[in-house]
Amino acid sequence: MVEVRENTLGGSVGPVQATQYRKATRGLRRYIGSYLLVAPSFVLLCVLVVYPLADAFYLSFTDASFIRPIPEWVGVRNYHDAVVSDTFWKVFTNSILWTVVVVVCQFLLGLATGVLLAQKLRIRSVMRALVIVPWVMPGVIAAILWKLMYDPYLGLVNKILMTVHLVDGFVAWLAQPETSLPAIIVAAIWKGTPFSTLMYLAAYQNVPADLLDAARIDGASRWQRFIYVAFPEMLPTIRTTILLTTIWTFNYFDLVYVMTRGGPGYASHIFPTYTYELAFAKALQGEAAAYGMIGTAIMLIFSILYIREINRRGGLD
Amino acid sequence: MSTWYRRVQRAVPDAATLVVAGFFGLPLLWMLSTSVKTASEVFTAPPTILPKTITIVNYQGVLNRQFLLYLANSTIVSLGTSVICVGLSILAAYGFSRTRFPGRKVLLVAIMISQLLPLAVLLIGIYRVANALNLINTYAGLISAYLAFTLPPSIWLLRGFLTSVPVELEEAAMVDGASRLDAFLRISVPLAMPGIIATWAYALFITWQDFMFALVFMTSDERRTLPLGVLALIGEHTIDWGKLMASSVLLMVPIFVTFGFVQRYLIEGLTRGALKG
Amino acid sequence: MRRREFLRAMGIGAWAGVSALLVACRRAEAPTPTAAEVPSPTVAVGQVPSPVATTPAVTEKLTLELWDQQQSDLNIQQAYIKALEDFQQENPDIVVKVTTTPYAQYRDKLLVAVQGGRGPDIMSLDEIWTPEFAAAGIIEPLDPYIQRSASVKPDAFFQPAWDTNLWQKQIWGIPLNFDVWEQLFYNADHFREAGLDPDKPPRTWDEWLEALPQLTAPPQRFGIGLLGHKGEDTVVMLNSLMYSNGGAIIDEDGNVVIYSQENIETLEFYLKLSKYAPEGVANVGEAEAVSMFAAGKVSMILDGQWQQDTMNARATFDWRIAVPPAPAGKKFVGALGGWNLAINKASKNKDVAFRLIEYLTTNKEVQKTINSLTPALRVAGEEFVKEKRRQPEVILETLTSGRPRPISPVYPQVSDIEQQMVQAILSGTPVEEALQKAQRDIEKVVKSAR
Repeated sequence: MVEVRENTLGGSVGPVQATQYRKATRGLRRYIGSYLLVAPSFVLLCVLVVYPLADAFYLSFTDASFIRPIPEWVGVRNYHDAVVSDTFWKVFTNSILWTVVVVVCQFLLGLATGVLLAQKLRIRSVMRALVIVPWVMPGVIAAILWKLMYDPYLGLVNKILMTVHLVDGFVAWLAQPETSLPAIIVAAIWKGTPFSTLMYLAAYQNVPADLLDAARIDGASRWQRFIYVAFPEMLPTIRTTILLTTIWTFNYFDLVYVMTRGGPGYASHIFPTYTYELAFAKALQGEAAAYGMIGTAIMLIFSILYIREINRRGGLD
Repeated sequence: MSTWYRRVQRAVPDAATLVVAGFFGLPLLWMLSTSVKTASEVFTAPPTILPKTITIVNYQGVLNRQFLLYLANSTIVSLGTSVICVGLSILAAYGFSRTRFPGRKVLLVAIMISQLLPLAVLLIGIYRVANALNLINTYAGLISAYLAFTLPPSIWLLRGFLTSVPVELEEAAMVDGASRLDAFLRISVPLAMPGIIATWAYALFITWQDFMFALVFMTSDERRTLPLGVLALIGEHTIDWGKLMASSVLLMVPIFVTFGFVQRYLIEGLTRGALKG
Repeated sequence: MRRREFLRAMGIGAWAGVSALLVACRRAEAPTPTAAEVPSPTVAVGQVPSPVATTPAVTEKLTLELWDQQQSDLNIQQAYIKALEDFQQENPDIVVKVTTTPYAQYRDKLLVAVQGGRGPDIMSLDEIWTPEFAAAGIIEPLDPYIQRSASVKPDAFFQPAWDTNLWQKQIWGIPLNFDVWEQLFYNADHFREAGLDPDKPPRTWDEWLEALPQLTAPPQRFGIGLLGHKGEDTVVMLNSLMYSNGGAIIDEDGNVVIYSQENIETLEFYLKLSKYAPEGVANVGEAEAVSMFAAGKVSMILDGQWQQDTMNARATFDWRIAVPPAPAGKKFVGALGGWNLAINKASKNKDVAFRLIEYLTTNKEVQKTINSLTPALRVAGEEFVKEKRRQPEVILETLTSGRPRPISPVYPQVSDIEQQMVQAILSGTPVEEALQKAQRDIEKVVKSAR
């Protein structure tokens, strides 16, 4: 029989399939230690998150509203009404556009900045301090700041753009349906990139120097060294960062809500802001819950596919 | 010709750094400059980047007893959350990375999934739970709420980090007669310290700037946190821009100071934690 | 491996089952906040109302929680504290805790608290929320308390302010303050530069449209800073224009009348005004308009008398107010706003709470110090504008001729529809089409409320 080292906390350290199967039949007592380790976090999350989730799920099938506190079951009416309305599809496309553009730009800019910060030695500390400013600024404050910067006459953006002649005339970025969401996207990129920058900076610094040296000796250019050596080494970090940024961006509410409240009209509404408007401005809890569930479902599908991919590559072992 | 090309090549990082610094830093500069402007200069068109006259009247107006009260509350809540978060995450991450048990992967995924809920949907539900447990307007209540959204990323990050600390070192210590717990505490934890500090810093920064949960959970003035104090400067009909910017700057100062100290660990820790996807 | 999959599925199923159970249990409890309520004694008709019910001698301190929305002027906050000190001296057995929250977050905070089962004893409510909170069963009808009170009487307050508390034949709150949108603020220096007489601001819509081009010289200067963003301030301002022209949103009988000839005229006039406003009206709120006016960017804005404090602090030019212009032959009618004090149905200290409300609303000096909107108590309000404001006659005139916004529990949805309508018009939707859509949408909302 193959020797199996067990630790007293249950489970085994070592791949012994046959004996593992037999252990399972001895009951879950073996794993109490492990469960105890994860229990506090799990219980906390259950109590604080699962209940609201289940409650929202239930409410989405009712006509609950603030002035109707005893809700009546209406089946899938909220979902049906949502899916047939133009507003829903506008919010949907905005959300997808918002998430994809922000995440991609944060990735590219974060990668570039991270690698950049690894190069220059002179003002590196100052730069790092500067770079985290957007990340640690409260979302609402950042939104107010950017709103002022986008003011057609009193704001910084137009002043700069007109000085370099990229724009002639005072453009009201946040007041035009075509430019409101793109303008907020720029603010979101500014706000969230620092997280990616720090992650990629560190990942780049952890690329084994000897690998890079070997490539250089073999005659690879800087660009080639990056693409074929550094980038693959950084891939695990990149994967986690993109997962987190996608989830955080999709649900990010502060910037859009404070800068335009989803306007003009519905031009800049995304799932979190529209759900919020339904729940608090109009106090229609049932409809809000339905939108919330749909948004969560979209993120759920994405996350599961994504994590399954990570699992396939052994990232969850 | 090649020297010219090489000079350009060397200048690119400098120029790029300038552009990046400008992109990230200009709004901060704007904020700083507005905080020292006089009330009438804030409303000038065209706007001035550097103030014509500098006044500290905004800072004086903001630094009062209430501000210190809010600062204390923020410190208690953020420190409390980040420390507890790290403690619970270490336990959970240890369980996930060092042991095998049924449902391990499912649990891990489930923990990440709890991050997916939008705020509007979560808020009333969490409030009800906290109210039923009599936690409204208490530090414990707000800390619990913050734990709900800092635990999942923390567990994932720490788990990854512990996975890359070789388990052989612990096993060697056990062979020498140390208990499992001893081995873990004496060997793996110190090695994992950068990651632990990184997780702690992440939770600290995120909770320091939150305002939605604080707004709803802290119902009396004595318990308010800094972001609430800052946003109180936005009235129904007017905004005190100078004071608003001054208090925002002051809100960020403690974070910068902390970041200065943990910079090294934060960077190193964030990457190690992420390595194992 | 099938066993494992099965166990996994069982685990997930159990987890889901437990949470469903939790939800079902929670929902089975009474959804509205319950409290051990002392039934209020009824007063028979004809009986002389006794003075405020005396509570039995209280040996321990009783805490009252009051929530209000915050003015950004810190002195008001301190005035509240001072005013309450006097109350607490007279009532040593009561401790009052006041929490103020910025307007932008106040509604959210209140909604979460009362739906979560825990709100303050007394809450100040925007008058447009009063019927909503009444319909939701959150606040207590106050008729019995009013009957027993010596000082809280309808005619002590400005009539329109009192009326905003009336819904389904009951009174749901006591007016704290009230005000009107709006006055016309204008820059007399700009007028002089343009060759206009600063003592004779436009009185009719035609005169307005004549004056504006002379004040507009883009991009340096514009005639008017017009509101258009998604917010209640846009709605009140627009309503005042509609009311002045004889239009309305919902009439006294509850019919939706927003699609009318008068309103078409008004909205087309609004569009004409927007041509003399700076770019980006669709994102301009009160704060932005005030900034532009104070910066000398626009010559006129429509805003309430409370903005005089800001002007005193920040404007460096000769600013004046006037009654806003009305269509020729018609009189300006403003849209009313203001705040009421209501008692939480779940409060355990309703009698004492009412006592505090009496104090805050009928004590003249208190009314004058804790409000930056006009006090709702008539004597206090009149003194207030005379003592603290420029051109009080203008203010009083607009106050007394104002009209409230629709008094309905679904008002927030109605307001949202109006806001969407304005945004659509500013983005190019024809006025008639936008009004028709608003008519349909509001009808649907009103019908669903029945």
